[in-house]
Amino acid sequence: MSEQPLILVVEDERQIRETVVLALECEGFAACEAATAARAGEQVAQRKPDVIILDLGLPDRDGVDFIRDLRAWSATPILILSARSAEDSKVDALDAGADDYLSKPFGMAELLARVRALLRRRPEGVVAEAQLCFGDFEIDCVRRTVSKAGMPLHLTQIEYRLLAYLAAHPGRVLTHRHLLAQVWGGQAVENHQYLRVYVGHLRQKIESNPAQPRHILTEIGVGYRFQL
Amino acid sequence: MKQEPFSAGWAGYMWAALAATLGTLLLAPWQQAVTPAGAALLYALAAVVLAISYGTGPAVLAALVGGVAYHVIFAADADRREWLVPGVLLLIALSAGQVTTRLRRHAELLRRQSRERAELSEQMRAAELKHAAEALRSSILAALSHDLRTPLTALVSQAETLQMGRLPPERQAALLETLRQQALALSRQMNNLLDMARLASGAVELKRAWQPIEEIVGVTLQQARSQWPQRQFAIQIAAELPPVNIDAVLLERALWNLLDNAAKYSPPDQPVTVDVSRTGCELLLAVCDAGQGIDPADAARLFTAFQRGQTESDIAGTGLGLSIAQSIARAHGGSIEATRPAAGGSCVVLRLPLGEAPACMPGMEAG
Repeated sequence: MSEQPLILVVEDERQIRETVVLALECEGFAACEAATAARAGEQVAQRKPDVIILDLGLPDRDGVDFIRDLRAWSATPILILSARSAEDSKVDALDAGADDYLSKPFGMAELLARVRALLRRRPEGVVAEAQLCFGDFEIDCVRRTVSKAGMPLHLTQIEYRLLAYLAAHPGRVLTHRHLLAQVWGGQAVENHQYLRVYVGHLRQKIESNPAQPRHILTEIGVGYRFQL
Repeated sequence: MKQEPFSAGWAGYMWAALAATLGTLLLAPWQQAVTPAGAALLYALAAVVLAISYGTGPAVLAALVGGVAYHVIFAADADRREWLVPGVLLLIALSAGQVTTRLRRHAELLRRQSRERAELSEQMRAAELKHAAEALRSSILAALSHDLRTPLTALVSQAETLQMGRLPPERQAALLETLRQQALALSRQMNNLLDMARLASGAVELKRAWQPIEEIVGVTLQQARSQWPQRQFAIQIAAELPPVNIDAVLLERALWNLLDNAAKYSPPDQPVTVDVSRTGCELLLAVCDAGQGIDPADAARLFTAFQRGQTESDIAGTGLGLSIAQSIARAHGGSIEATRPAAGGSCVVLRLPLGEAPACMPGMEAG
């Protein structure tokens, strides 16, 4: 098997599919393609791609259902492409287990950057690093402490848990529901207000300019993305 | 069909006979107490009332019955001159009947006329609406064919120029960048059209949540900065702003459209400023630029779909941005207005009502 990462492009518009494949190949990736969800399922099973680029508007199946089914047996990172008219399904797709999204029309440079970020992602289930670093911050996951440039930073329990979870998933879009379930537990998933308040607190503590955050980025209407 | 009291037919005659007979029977025992003149006046009153309610026929009947009864009962011992009273009663009944008939006809005529007038104005309003819809449709078509076809034509010719392969590499790179910008501008316009269609069809449901306005302003400005890297964007946010109950996605679009407008219609070396403040129970989002300013006379028109400051201009756009921003502001119970600050340039101010934010739930930090 070759060393090139394999990317599966699932898109029913031939022109977009071919352009994306061309760009991926120019970047040194191997690419395979599918125009339908049925074909995509076969490709995932046979060729085991490293990343799936999935258009949500497929002719034969609802993209969100496709992701849900796929997640039952595959943890392959999924980058979804969404049209402006189907914004709600983008959040549903992320909740169903997709990792990132791009709105059409997307820039090719942006698409390639996202694919590279997904390839760098640790597969789920692998023991995370005991230490996470971003900027001049350091998170010690064993002693549950955070320090800035060597100085300890005081965080509450929830602030710590939220920051540690965000920092452990850099570059990935985490929906409101997902974060609430992870940090507060399943019964809190509708209380977006909790999350906003705590993200606000965290930004006050770790961002040099909380109004223009560098690490905890807002994805409007979707959730947050952590940037190292 | 509604039965007019005037054509009440038998009912009128029955009431007339009943009233005159009953009245006479009631009055008869008091024959000594009632003067003949009093009785005559009572019969006259009955005739007039019947004339008003049922018309000439029943009134005449009542007068006849009354006249005979008068003559027989009340004026029995008077001389024959008393035949004058039944005659006068008859005359009163006839003339009252005539007058009410004439009045009814007149009222009927007036009613019919006003109904016809209402129908006519209804037709005229429908015609006006249809005309306005036609005018809007043709202005949409004109805007679309100009604003979408021009960049499309340019795209095709740029692509073909590149295809010929005779351009030196640096010209090629420049042309490719122009091509990319054109395509992006086109897609922004398509987004606006799509948004407008969805807002206008009422298919948009607000997904409100209490959130800090700083977050939305911050993200939108970040996008604007990457869209126009050469442009300076300044931001002033008042301290301690309360959270607002808004649909973040829609508000971001509204704000983006205001920034897009400011960037398009002001000199590129001048800053665009965003000022977020609070007055009373409203949150104010002002986007100001150093452009040529908006004429107060034009201000209202600018918020109408497909209206642009300059109708023929080389700045791409379909004239939807402000209209979309206004629809979004209104959907939130807010408003939008264009002002002309004393210092020059123009400002578009979006006002949002500040509600009472729910207190944070107790025990949030219980975990």
